Amino acid sequence: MARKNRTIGSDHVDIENGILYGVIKQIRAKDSESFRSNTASLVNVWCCQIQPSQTQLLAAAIRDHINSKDEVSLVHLKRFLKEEDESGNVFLKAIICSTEYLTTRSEVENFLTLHLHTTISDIYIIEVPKFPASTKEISDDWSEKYWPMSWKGNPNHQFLNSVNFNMKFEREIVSQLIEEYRQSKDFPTSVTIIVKETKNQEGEILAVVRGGNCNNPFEHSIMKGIDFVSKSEQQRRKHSIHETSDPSNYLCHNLWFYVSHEPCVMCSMALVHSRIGRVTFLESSPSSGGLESYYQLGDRDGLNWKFQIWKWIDENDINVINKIYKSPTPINY
Amino acid sequence: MMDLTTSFEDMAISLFIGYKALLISETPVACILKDKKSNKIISIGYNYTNSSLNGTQHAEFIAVKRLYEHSKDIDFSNIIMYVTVEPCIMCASFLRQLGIGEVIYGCSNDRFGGNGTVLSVHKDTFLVDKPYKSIGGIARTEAIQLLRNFYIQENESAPVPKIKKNKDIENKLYPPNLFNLTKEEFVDFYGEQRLDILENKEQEITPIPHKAYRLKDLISLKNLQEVPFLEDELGLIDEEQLNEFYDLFYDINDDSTIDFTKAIRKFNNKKRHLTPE
Repeated sequence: MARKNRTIGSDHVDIENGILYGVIKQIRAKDSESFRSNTASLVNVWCCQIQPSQTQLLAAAIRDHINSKDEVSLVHLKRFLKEEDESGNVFLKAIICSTEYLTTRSEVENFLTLHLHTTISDIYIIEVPKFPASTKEISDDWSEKYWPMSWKGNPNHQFLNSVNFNMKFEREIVSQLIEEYRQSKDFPTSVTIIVKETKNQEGEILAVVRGGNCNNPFEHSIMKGIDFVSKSEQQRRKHSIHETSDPSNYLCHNLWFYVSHEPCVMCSMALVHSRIGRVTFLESSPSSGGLESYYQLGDRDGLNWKFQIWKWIDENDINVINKIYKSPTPINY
Repeated sequence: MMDLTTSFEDMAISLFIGYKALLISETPVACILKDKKSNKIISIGYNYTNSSLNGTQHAEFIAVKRLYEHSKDIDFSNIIMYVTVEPCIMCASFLRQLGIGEVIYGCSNDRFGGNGTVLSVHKDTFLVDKPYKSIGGIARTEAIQLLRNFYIQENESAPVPKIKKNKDIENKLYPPNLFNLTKEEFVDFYGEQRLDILENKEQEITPIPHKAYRLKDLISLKNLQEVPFLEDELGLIDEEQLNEFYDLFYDINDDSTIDFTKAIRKFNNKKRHLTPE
């Protein structure tokens, strides 16, 4: 019973509406294949046949040498499948990795020879679902059609239950965002705060950026913020005594962006190019926004980067924003 | 007959700027901005994401920023952009917000294209700004080949560099030639005579319909030396460098197919110049 309760969610999680702590709403692509579709998007993986006695060795090799490196996550699939040949001998089929990680048959052969200390000849490519299924029924259906899936509950529900925000920190940032926005009350603009995560869901503020007039795309606060982060990193590298650069300081890799308004298509895609970790915005931009209103950039299959999108829905805060300035005409923020 | 020679000449200049960007380890995507009235090149741009550590510093931004630094009051509807690769979703929105007059591009951008390939940011009617005209397919194979010369290298600035396995770019085929245009839009720019290319998707646009061409005949050293900002920012150009550039590309035959019999070279990152096959 305890287990069942967990899937319903903790007190701060509204699973049905994707709202956390009553004020942070998850924004997702309505048709995001990864969560909702009944048709599986497929990916090619290397499969092999092994003896039951080799299972442990192969499982360890996959755990130690594949899982952290293969960019295609296969954790939603069972790794081994038990089968019998005509004479009743049991053997196993195993998924090794995606064909994106090991691209040629000989690489797979070498990998198996190295770790199983014997040559495996039955190696072939199969198609399997790239993402977990959204319901138990779809999961069963795909298990039948492609390869056994492991059902661990709705993946997005699991995700929502796993996310933690430090609400004190979040509220402080939002207050600062609004105070900053108050400074520019005569023309359409936005404010961006950029945060680098430290620990306990808290972070260090890297930049507080007030945009200029949004009619000029160069003046959008997100573009200015991205520019600021890159210039600081240039300076840091220039003055750093050691040649070695911190590999995590790459573009805006995994940084958190807080924005007063839903960013325009240009700025939303700039966040994708900059590989941010997550974005939280306050006021929606129904005629121009690229996260919630159109295209769902940041949660779109096919682009090379995804990030979490959250909308701060505390009505008091949104009212304050709109009282400070509300553009009479549609605008790109 | 619709003679597109000048469009090809303009694109050849953009391609060469892209090549100069490749020489400083940038993705070889580049553009020029031309003033429609004076027909002069008023700015150039090239990808600058690696040097700047800023993933938004695409060619389109660099070219426009240069103009902005001069004057904040520019009428972009009189400006035409020749860019080697279809603008990405970000740049498509940027250009639309500026009110750009027209965009001519080389090859499609299969992963991020915002002018019809992934999204149609240039013309989707629900967005606020006025749509703009966008035409692809001028010197398409050359734009692709230039990119391939970049992608065979390893991206050393990425957090975990991927080891590139497929370096055999001489024998790679080109994807189908898709234009993201309606038949009317195609005829309006390319003319009836080229309709077969829209339909069969296997041939290339040429400056003169059904007549062979090569980049070598489109631009000269003198043309390039006259391009503003080019030598100042990306270094001097000489005949040897220009010939190395020409040697990267296949020519196009009279029947609009690619001449795969030509021996091309590929760019060698380590030596910073070309190696024979």
